[in-house]
Amino acid sequence: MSELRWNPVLEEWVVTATHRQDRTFFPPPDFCPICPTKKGKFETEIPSENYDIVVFENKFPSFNRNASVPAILGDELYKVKKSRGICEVIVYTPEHNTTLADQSVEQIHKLVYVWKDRYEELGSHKFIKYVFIFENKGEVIGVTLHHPHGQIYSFSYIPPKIQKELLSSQKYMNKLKKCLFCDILDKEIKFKKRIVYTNKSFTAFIPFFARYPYEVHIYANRHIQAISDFTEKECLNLAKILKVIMKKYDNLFEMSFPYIMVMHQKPTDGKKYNNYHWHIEFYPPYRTKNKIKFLAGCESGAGTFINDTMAEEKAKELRKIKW
Amino acid sequence: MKIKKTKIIKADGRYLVYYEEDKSVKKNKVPLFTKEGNQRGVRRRKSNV
Repeated sequence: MSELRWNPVLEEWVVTATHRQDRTFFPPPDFCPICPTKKGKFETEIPSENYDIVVFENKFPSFNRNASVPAILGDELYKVKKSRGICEVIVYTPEHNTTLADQSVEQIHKLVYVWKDRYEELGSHKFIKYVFIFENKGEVIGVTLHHPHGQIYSFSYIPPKIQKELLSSQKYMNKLKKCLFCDILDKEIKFKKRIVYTNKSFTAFIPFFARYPYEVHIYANRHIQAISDFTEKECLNLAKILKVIMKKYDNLFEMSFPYIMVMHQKPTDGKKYNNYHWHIEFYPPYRTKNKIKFLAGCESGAGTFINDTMAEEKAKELRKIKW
Repeated sequence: MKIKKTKIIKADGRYLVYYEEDKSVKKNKVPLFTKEGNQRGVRRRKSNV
């Protein structure tokens, strides 16, 4: 059963998706559902014996193209809606024992094209208002399949975090006639101490307001709203900077570094969002080699993050790490 | 880079898209030799000048 339930207190939707309880949970390596199907072996999600990058509809989706009628009746206080949308899985490589960080720049470059194509195709559906591209990496994040992959959730509404960013950047634009994100970027570039890496098209930094010790944001240097606006050169430069940041992460504590990577870009509801600015955010849970930053009382109950570190020091640490 | 995509519909109705580099599209080739006949990226030795 799957539906959207309205939380009138926080004014946001909660997705119930009970079928996801049955999703594949740490299968043995020989039974990975997103490896290529080998001759004489069980048929995986991907029928081909080999592939480069594959995208398919999630077998256990949180949203569904043909969403069923909610199992419960809503009312004025407790609204319910069909959980309509599209959930996709992107498999980065046919190799099982690897990570995105270990892929060549060429392979990551291909992935950028795939992201671009998916954003355009999914966003072209009238009922899709927001295309959310992300990757959960590592068991501590809750990943249940080790094969390197990412996901795309295509929402029938604009999710609350994006709504909040759209609103703050619109207010900033109305007041100062400037892009909020361009001003953040300018300030970080001038200050230098929180910059981790730059190339001609992108800047990676730990923001002044970082909530996690190693929270890196990658902003497009050009004021663009979506991956569909990228030039050829920008596609390649995004692949290059992603490779650098992910390798720095892996080399930081000499381990495959877990993270949540999210892409924020303009909604696909056909409206103009000149106030918005394309960017990627990484939320790595580790605060030292052996310690994890948990979202505990203050973060979960009060919505306020306590960061035990200084962004300037962590950026310096990451800058020094080779890739 | 040109990417080729092939979409299939699986038995349960879900779609799957294969992406691969379209190698039939020729990349802009940088000529190996210049007009002067010097190999690109190789410095001429003084003795050859």
